[in-house]
Amino acid sequence: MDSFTYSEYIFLLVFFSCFFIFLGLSIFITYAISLWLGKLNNERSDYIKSHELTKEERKAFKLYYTKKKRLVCTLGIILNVGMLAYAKYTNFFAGAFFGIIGESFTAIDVIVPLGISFYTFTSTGYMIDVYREVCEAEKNPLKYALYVSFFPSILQGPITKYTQLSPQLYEGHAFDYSTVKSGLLRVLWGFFKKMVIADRIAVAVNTVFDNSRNYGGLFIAAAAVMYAVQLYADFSGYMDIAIGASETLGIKLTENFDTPYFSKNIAEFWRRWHISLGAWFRDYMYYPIVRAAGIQKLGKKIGKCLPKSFAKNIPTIIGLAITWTLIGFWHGSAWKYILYGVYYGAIIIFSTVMEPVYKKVISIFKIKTDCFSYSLFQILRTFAIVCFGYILFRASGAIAAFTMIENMFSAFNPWILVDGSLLTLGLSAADINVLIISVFVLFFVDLANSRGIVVRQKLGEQNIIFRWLAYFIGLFAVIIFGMYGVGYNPTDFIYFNF
Amino acid sequence: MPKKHMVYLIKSVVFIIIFSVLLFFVNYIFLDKTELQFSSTLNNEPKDTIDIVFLGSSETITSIQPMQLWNDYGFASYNLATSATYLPTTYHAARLAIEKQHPSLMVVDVTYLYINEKTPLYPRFHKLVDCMNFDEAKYTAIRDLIPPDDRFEFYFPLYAYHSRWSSLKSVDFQPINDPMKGSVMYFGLNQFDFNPAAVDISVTEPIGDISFEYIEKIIELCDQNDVKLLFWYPPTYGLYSALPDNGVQKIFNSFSEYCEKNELNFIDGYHNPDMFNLDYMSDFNDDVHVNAYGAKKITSAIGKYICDNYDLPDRKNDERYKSWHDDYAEFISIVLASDPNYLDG
Repeated sequence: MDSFTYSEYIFLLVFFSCFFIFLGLSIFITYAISLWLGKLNNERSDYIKSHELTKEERKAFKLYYTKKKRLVCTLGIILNVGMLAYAKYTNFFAGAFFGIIGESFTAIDVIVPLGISFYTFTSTGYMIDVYREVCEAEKNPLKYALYVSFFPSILQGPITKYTQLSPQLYEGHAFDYSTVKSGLLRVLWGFFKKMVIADRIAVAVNTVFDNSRNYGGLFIAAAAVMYAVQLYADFSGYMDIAIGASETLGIKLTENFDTPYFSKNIAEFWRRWHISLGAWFRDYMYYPIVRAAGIQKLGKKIGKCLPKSFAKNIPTIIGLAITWTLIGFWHGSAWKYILYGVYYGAIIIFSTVMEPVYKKVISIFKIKTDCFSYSLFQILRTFAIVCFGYILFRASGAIAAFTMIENMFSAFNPWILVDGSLLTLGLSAADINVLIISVFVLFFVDLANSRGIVVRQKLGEQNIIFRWLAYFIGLFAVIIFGMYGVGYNPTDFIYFNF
Repeated sequence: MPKKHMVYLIKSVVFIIIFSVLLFFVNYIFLDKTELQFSSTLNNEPKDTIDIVFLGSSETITSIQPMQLWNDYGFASYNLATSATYLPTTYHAARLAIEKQHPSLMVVDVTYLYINEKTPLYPRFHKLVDCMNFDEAKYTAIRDLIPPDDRFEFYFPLYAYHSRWSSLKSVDFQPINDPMKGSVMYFGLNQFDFNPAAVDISVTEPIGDISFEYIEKIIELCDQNDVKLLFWYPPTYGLYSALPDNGVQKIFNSFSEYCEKNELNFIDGYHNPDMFNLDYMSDFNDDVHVNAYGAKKITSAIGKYICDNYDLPDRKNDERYKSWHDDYAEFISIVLASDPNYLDG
């Protein structure tokens, strides 16, 4: 009791109560709705099996049930996503509304439960899968609750599909030494990324982004690049911890990163970054939009007055525009996140539309595309676009982001890279040395991964002395160089906030 | 158990043992070595070889030279005081001392009686406990004095010190050798152009409840363990004005009355500074601490008091204390390096 005040205890009590209430409600709603959907699925199948129906009758009967199911599923989505919207977006929408009518608005204190964006998507995806008959509704509420609240993935994902995770959760797992070892090594690697790299580089990133008015030119560009490293090490570090912890139990979670900074274009980047979120939006948002009869009709209508090659992309463009705006909005209730989504949506749409033009340019200028230099150019170009996007993502707000972008281009100061100015960002020369070495290690491990070499496995094939030496170096690297302990304010994982 | 699992188990146990040993050494390397002698060498002394332990704050560290007591009286003593130590910490230092050494006499400096705080200053508390073996006394000290959220850095000091990686020096990789037996010597000079002795007032003010509770605990601890107890105020003029309206002196007056009433042995260096024969123009390093010359006089006076009032053995001819002669020689060489005329005065 000594170091906590009573108000802090009350806050924690409310905080954890909120966490369990929201999680419990989400589980209850999606469990009940899915059971209902499962019942409708069974009713329809049983009826069709037990009655001899003509093709038309069967079609009409199926349509009737599909409509009924759609209604039930929509109800479930509204309730479940409604809770997310309430917890995360109440202030945003209220602020926007009062702004439009010209009234002032004081933000309401709404506690956003940890992990709500992740478990809401997990449970909503499951409900839609039951609706689509991809899986059957789980009847045992405890088993279902375990799926939604599986501890390694509840806070930051990965958003694993029911069909992939549930069989592993419910079957027994015999103790397997190599699996446990491999899982623990992955956890260690995750801690290395988070504590040695992400939290160290965060010091310099915060210095620039939190005092953005004082910096311009290459300071901002350097901060954006450093933030790219921080965010990757932070988020993928958490994933390593979550997937590794899960692996020790014999449960394989879906991978969420596939060396994203080696991507050659933005669409590929998003297939390799936060994979489970991208897959969720693709399966449950993008495809339904593109395939919706209304969108197809609209595409045809607009397409009549456009060139044929462009017209065929209209449903895709509409789907991408909506999906990317929502992906941006998913990250948080601020305009900067919406702009972040729109930024990527615009780039991907532009790339899709301009693809024939690129191909033509490549063919006219006879540009070699199957060589290292071209691949390197593509990777660096993609990385630059991603870093530019991070200015929007990390800045304190949309206006601050635009100011930073303006300052980045209005100041010319390349000498800061060599005159020691980077040492004024809060990191000592020794810290920068540790960072450089650590980022090199990260780079080479990722490079190996991208070529299908799992470093942990390769390490496991070595002699015990070398192997254990590597393990001890890893452990003590985290213990000694990790950013934690007295005088250090630990930072949360960045995606905890989403 | 299948043979395969047995191999895994053995490998895991061996790995954990090697890791623990490495962690132990890494933990030692990263400890902040400045002033760590206050606890480390007591921990390293053979069990039950120390007859007198001095406890308290920096005023004791600088006032009492165990090696001088060794040379003058053959007393095996240790200075376990740490800077700015409040009475609750002194009580736990006494427990640690009894656990490691079970001395015959404990000399407790009550300078910080007027600070009624339980939680110690963390860097100071680190100095006391970091080098101590992890046992019940250390565990209880941490549990009693440190709020739950902050305890981990005392159970696992690397948590507090790992960020020293960029400032490690060769001394960090070597064992701590302390011929001073916990004490420190200053050779600076602070001259008082007035007589800084205490104001002679008899007004009292109650001792704070926390300080008083731990004074009683120290008395009880010594009673239970058959350890003789001697309280004292070192002459620390700079602290006399720490509280307004002669508040420090009023509390000290209460304590004097308490000792008299309970027949506790007590050296009142506050009201009787002349007993140490200190020269305000030559014996102080600063307002609070005496220098090596002041320490020589205080140690001499305290040694005489102990010799006259307690029956403690002269260990000079004891085989178990052979290394103390070498320590004394090293102590003298350290002192003479700072002042070649030290032994003359």
